[in-house]
Amino acid sequence: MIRDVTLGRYKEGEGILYQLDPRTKLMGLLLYIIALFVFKSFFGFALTFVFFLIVKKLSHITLSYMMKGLKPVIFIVLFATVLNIVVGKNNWEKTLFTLWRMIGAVFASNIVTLTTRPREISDGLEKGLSFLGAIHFPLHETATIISLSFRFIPILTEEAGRIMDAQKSRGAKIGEGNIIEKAKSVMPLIIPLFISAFRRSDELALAMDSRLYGSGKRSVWKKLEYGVYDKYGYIFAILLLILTIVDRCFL
Amino acid sequence: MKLRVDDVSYSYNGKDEALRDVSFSVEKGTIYGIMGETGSGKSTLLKLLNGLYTPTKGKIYLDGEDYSSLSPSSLPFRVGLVFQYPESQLFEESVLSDVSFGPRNMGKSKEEAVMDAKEALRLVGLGEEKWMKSPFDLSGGEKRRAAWAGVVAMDPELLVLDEIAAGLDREGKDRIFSILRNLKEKGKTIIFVSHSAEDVAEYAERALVLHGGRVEIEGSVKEVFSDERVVKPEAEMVAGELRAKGLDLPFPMLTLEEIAEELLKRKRK
Repeated sequence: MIRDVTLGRYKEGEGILYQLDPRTKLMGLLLYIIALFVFKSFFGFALTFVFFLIVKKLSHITLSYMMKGLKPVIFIVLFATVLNIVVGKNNWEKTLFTLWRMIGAVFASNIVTLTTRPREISDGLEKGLSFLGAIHFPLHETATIISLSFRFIPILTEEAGRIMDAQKSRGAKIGEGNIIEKAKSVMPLIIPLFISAFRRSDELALAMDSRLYGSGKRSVWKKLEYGVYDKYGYIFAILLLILTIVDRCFL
Repeated sequence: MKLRVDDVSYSYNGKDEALRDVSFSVEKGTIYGIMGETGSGKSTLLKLLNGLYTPTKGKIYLDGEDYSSLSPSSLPFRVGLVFQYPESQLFEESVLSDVSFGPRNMGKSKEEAVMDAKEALRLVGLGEEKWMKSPFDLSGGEKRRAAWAGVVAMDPELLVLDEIAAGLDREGKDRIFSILRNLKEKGKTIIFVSHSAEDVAEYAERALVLHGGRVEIEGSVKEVFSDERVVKPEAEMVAGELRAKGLDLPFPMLTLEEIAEELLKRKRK
């Protein structure tokens, strides 16, 4: 299961979504998630669903690939759904909406990370949030931290696979038994993984230091510029949000 | 214990074969070397031997028993696999409890597991003063030996090792290989993977060379290094230079000691 994590992974491909500016995609994602939680009636639900289908089509990413990204959160989604039915005593419509809100948010985030390089995401965040620089928010550092975390995800999943194989060879039964045994059984995996993560970040910090990271003002190599499609991206995302607000207030 | 690999193929995705029609057998109590460049299928082969993967075609036999008839939970205890950089698997609070992790998983009592662990630690040359230390406070070479002890403690009949000497200095390497010979004398069968022709020439009795997922050549170490496609160990390069200078040395020369002996023989004559 751990090897199937798609969250934060970039997938090489082409399509309009790859040509969009990362700021457009991040802003679009934010607006889309707000829209997901704003809509109230079936009309709003259909709207967000169709919007998702269009974006999915533009991204050229298959549904099965996105289902993989859903795996790690499937438990939470199911739990919330059951809770909704049993405790919330909601009708099927409201349950469906809650389910879609969660799945839609995961799918949308997945589409963005799959079509945007980690470097672009952090550049987009840095530039998109540049107004925060006025209050001396350490914007560049934060963006670097985010992009580094993304870079570590595939490295650590690979490492986890390797450690898992090694412990299995020593007869470890990872993830078996009742809940306490399960929690105990992941220790042989988690501890070495943490240690290697700390070691890697130490080494990375040294490597950055030795190349004089942080010794002066940094310039930007690839300047972000809006292209032809970005205008439409913003228009559609804003339109969607307006329509869902209308849906909530007037329908 | 005898291992026989019979016409085994393995594919990760069902299309491209990482290993194709691999056959060889390893006699009990011998040291067997597997050579091959990066991507030749060495690591895949090791995982098949340990039962982490199942062959897509062909069979592997352990003392005549088909792997697929053995229970998957008992296989790791009969075939110990030591991964490349095994120190990354250490996790317990003390060296002793880390090494006893395997035996405990075999269902042994705590006392028995600790006894096995102590024996394994002695065998790899980690003295009593290190046993209660955190494994993370050991030196690089010691960590590797501790991790190795973790596999040896399960007392597997067949030990499979991936690039055991990687990143160790000459002394650490000699130590590792002398432990290997100790294990062999105890009747263990040992298979090790290495990209170093020197290690295979010096320590293995028989060997095979993998190339693009196929067995390029298989046989005694002398036979393997006689093949012109196989990269020669350093000693044979030296021997080649000597032959060019007019010395008549047999081919192939595997170690510098061997050359020295040949020269001494000549001097005595």
